[in-house]
Amino acid sequence: MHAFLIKRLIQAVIALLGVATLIFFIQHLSGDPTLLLVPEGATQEDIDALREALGFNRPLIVQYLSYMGDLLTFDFGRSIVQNVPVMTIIGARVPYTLALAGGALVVALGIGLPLGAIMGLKRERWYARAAMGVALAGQSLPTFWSGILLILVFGVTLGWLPPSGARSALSIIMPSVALGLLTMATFARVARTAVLDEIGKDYVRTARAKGVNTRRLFFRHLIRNGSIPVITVAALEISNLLAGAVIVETVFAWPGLGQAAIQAIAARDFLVVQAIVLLGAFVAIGLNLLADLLYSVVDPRIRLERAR
Amino acid sequence: MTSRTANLLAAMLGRTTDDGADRPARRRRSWRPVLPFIVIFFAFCLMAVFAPLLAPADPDAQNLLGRLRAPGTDVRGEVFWLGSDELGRDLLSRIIYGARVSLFVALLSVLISSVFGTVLGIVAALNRGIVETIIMRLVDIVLSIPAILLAIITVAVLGPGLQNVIIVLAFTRWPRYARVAYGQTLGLVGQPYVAFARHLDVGTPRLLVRHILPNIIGPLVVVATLEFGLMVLFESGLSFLGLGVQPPTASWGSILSTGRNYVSTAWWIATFPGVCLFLLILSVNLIGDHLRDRLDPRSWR
Repeated sequence: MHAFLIKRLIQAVIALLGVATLIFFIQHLSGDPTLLLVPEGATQEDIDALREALGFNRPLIVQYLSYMGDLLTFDFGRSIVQNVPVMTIIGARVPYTLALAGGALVVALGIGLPLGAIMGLKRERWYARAAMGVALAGQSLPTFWSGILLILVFGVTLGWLPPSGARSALSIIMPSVALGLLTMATFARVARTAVLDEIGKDYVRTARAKGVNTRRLFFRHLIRNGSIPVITVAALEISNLLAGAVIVETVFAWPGLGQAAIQAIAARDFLVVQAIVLLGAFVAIGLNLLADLLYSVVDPRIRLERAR
Repeated sequence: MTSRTANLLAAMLGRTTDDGADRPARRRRSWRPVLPFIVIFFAFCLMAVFAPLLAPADPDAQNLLGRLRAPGTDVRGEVFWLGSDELGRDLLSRIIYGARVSLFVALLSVLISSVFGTVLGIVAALNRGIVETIIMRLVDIVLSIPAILLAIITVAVLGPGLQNVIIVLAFTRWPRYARVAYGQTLGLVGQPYVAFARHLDVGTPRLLVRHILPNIIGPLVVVATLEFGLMVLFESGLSFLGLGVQPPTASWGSILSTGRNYVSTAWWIATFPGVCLFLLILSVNLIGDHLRDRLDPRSWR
């Protein structure tokens, strides 16, 4: 167990350092990172002064070390455009993105799991096949289109929900649905596989032979044993939801991190973009680690296999 | 070494090569259920290739008298079959030309990333040690950044535009192919015929083309098909965010972005490009799923 834990932790740390290095490399792809940070129409003197102030005129290796040092202390720098620390900008946006991801997860689990269970339990019925079709279609639905359709139907035509922004509590419903539909299919697939895996096992046959009815069998046995892969996949899917939030937030003018990133690109506020991407990658790596650990806690076979 | 000698050698050693000739015939899924989607996919391809012949109007020609007209409106002899946008451009023509952008970007980015990724994957598998470690660690790192975020930061640095979108997509997606090519090649390196070929001092290019590539191409084609759908989605997503193809060039994503702004007055702008996008992605995904099932029946029960 310890060997696996330590190995996995070291891998995660390497991945974190690697991601930070890759972003540093991308930052220097343009030749002069200073140009990414100045508003359009800046004079040459302004650019030179800023380059001096930010230290972009130092040797690359020195820049790299100071960049990594800043990251270790969670210092993402100061936004040139808005003249506040990047962390302040991000801090104000985080609650919105978390709320959206949470809402989407509720939608995805709430629809995906029952759908998957039906697909697994009643495999041959027409409605199980129809459910499969719905799940597949949901996966191919671009969030920016499903989002607009939701606005069109529920915001504009029916007028039930606010079409965009975050002014009322109802505002979160449509973005959550648009984002949740994307991962719904994944949960449906996992739930279906989990049910099919469990249903073929001996204890199910025994329970059936004892006369346990399907409902009790499902709620008492299948859900408990089948939830293991679902929890693991949920940990992985959260990072997908956070990434998908970039587009959904833009569609619904939801003031989260994704919208902040897109606005920052338009305003040439590169440090904000960089911080949000780094944060997203760090969260993804963390969740990946969490999924692996969760799995190894509940299923000892895995840690034995992977520790080797 | 020809593949016939490989077969002979394998037969001698009591193993089979990977052409499946002497395996029990696998129950194959019929193509019939996906046939309509293959037709849809090729219809979009034809639409893209013959766009200049099919489009009723110039996709970029503005008609300020015919702004935001509903589908079927006739403005001085010009019929807007699917309506017009905020500058009076014919939506149908823009959608037809938009198929070009979608398919061109997807095709090129899949081609570049698959060749790049496959080569790196095979190189890593054939050169165990430091080369392998560097390549496969890089694969892990790139894959650990959510793809859309990596694409966004790269566009932020390089700037938007058709060419940069292709570069960005190729740059962010090659690790998928590298991982598959690496795994598949590792499996082959242990095969006696590869060891034999190496022993006979067959040059590396020949080893790759004659012995390794034909045996690993199947799973790579599946990855490429599924990635193709994803690339269509990414291009339109980036264009929707204003980071992709720049105006006035029509892209389904950028048309949808306009549609979002006029959603309360002109429903058609946000509807028709979305239908096309959905159908294209759905058909590519279903074709990819089907290919995967044929190659690996265990992956989806």
